[in-house]
Amino acid sequence: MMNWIREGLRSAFRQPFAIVTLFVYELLWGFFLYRYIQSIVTPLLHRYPGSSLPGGASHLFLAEGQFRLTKTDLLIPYMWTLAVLLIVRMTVTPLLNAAVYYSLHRTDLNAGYRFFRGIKQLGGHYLLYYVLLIAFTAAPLPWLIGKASELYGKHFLTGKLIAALLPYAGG
Amino acid sequence: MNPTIRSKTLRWLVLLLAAGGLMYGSDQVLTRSAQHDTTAFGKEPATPSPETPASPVAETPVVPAPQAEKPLSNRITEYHMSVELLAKTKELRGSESVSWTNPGSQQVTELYFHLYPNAFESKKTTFMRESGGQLRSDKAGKDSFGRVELLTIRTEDGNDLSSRIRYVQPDDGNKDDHTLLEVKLPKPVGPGEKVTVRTEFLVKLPAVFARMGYSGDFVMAGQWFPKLAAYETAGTRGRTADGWNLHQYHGNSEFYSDFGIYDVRIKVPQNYTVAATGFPTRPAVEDGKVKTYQFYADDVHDFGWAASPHFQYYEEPYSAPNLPGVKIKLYLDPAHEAYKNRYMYAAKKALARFSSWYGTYPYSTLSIVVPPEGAGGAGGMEYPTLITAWGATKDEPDLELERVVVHEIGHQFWYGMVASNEFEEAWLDEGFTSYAEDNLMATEFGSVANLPIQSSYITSPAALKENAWDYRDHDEYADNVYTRAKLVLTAIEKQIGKDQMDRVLKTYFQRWKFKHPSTQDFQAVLEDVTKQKWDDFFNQYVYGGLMTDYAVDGIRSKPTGLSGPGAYDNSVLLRRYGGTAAGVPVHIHFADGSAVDQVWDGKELQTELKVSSAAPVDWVMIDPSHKLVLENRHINNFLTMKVDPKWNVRWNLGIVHLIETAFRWIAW
Repeated sequence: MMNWIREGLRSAFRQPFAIVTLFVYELLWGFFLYRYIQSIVTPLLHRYPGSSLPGGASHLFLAEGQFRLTKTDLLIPYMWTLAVLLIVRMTVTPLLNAAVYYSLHRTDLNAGYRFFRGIKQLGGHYLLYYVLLIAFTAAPLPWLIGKASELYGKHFLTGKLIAALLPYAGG
Repeated sequence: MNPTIRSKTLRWLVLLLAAGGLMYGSDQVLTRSAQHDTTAFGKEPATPSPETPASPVAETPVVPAPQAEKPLSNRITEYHMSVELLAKTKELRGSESVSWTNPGSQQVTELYFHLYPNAFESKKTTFMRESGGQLRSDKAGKDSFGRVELLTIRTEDGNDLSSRIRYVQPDDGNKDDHTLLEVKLPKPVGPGEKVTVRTEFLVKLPAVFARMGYSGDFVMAGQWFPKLAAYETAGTRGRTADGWNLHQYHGNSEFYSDFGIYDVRIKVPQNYTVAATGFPTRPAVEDGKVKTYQFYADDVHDFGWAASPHFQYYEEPYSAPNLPGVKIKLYLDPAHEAYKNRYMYAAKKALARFSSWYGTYPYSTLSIVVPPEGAGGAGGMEYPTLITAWGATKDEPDLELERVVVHEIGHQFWYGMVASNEFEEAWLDEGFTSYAEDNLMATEFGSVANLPIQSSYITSPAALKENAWDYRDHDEYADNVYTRAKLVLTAIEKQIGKDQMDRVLKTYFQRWKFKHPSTQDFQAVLEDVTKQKWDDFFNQYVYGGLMTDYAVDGIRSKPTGLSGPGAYDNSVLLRRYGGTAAGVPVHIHFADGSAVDQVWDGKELQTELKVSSAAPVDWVMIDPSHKLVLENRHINNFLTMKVDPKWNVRWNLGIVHLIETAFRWIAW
């Protein structure tokens, strides 16, 4: 067991270019995602009255927030932004997979070269594999969405929506 | 109303005389003239009595007594109808003799009839297309189709008119909609002249989801007969020339008709009980198979009835100051038998209060129908002198039981008597009734409406004077004509005070009862009573779709280098994104716990308040005590300088991690 771990770490250290690239990739995503969320959340926190204010102000804040989210299209631009971010990452994913697996296999080549060579040589194959993977993973989604909207109608007002959806989310 | 009859002997004498007279005259009932009806069948005598506990009693005939007073309305329509419920096939077979007196100054060459049951004819009707086959939470099922078939249509002297009729669709040109029928008359009807048309018709009832239809053996007959459209004379609701007010049956729309007389014979299977508009002119007659009722109503603009073999019937006479006497008739689904006193109590309180606030309820009866559980679509609806409560579910009802009774009784005033056009200005009945309902629920049941939350709920404000079907969808229609309209009336009340508002509504009711007012007519009453112009307010909130939306958009605190009260120069940026309000209260709170209140006139699009203080501004709140009733964006009313850094990081990181976790399921 320890040998496998050791071997794994050793082969990881033999990929300095891939490690640095992935680190920078994660760092940039983390930074921009954090800044994006902060640009939404912090102004809202400046509007949140807190429980020390009179007249049920926080209660009204939450109720109005719920009405705005559920009765208007306020959420749509944010959902689009997140969807575009996800699509970009999904496009990059099979390319990164191709680069990493190729690099692990062809340690005889230059670290940076083999990374890009992997993308060039195996990118298309990994893309096809990824599309199939996603298609199979998402196959039950139409059924789940139907179920969720049915439960949404039934449980939204009683506040038991999450509890009702949990078994399906877990599945 | 007739004088009160107190003596028992005298009461019996009148009863016997009237019953005898009725038996004699009942055979000619279908051919009587309006004038004859007026004298033969007056209002049921007032029978003031203390509030007594509800007790089951047999349905007794009403005692009509002579009525010499001037009619309450212009009574330009007169219906004599006979209808039989074919319980097995869920059909109504009816005949109708309808007379119409031309109230205008022009000759009229055609009549128009609403054939409302045709809304359920197919999925292609305007009602079904607009509503998607759904009203409130009730959806059309496979049995929810119905229609009315016009079997014959003739003039008074028997001339066939069937070649002179055609369906018209003035609102949307939808040829699949057959809810409005034009009848070309053989000869014009001159001003003040009368025309009579006789029809025979067969209504196939739909399984109820939208007001009319059946559920099991319960039947709600609302908008069931060929019904004349409303004819508006020049000057009515701003019209420049006489003419019909013509609309199809829409997904988001109720009704509009002229006042008149209804004389209706209803035949049902022997075991059924019938609740109907008006009062019975004689006891129901049974022949072993069929039970025949005879109802009469005047100064009303619709006639609705309900029937079921399961109704439990209770009645109570009731009177109060400004309410000389009314018989409250309760037709209860057995599932709600335990709550009969609650229905009665709510009805009494509503009748008494509304009569005292607005004006006398002049009819001799008020019938409350409580439909069975599956007939929710028939529930919560108003017809003249008859209302329906919610379907009788098995769970113990909360205050909604009282609320719906109060609301629908409110409609007896704002719809029944002040008969606004529900197609074009639905807020005049729904908004006014919701306002009356709120006031009554607060006064009698201690249930005070949470107006700030209701105002926040208005996420899509739109003009109130708007055709009902021009709203985006049912939610936008309901949010505006019920809730926003009520908030607009409450905002007026906040400006002029409760006493003056009471005077406005009373004056409006008294001036416009048994007539058809418009939004402008209400504005004119408001201006007469308050002696001020309301154009700005109406242009923004009634004819326009604005709410008020004031925001705190910036806070700046600069140290001056001094100490004491002038240590900081603060400036607070306020903006207006919606309509104007008279005086915007602003509460400025400082870091040392002190605070200052200011009032901004709220007219400009933005302003900067400048304040000197010993400590920097901590937070600012517009309208902390929620005086601005129409403010619907409370979130931007508040701005604080201090955000707890710990919570700031927690929220940001928490959400970022949530998104990352979701992304990582499928991507790097």
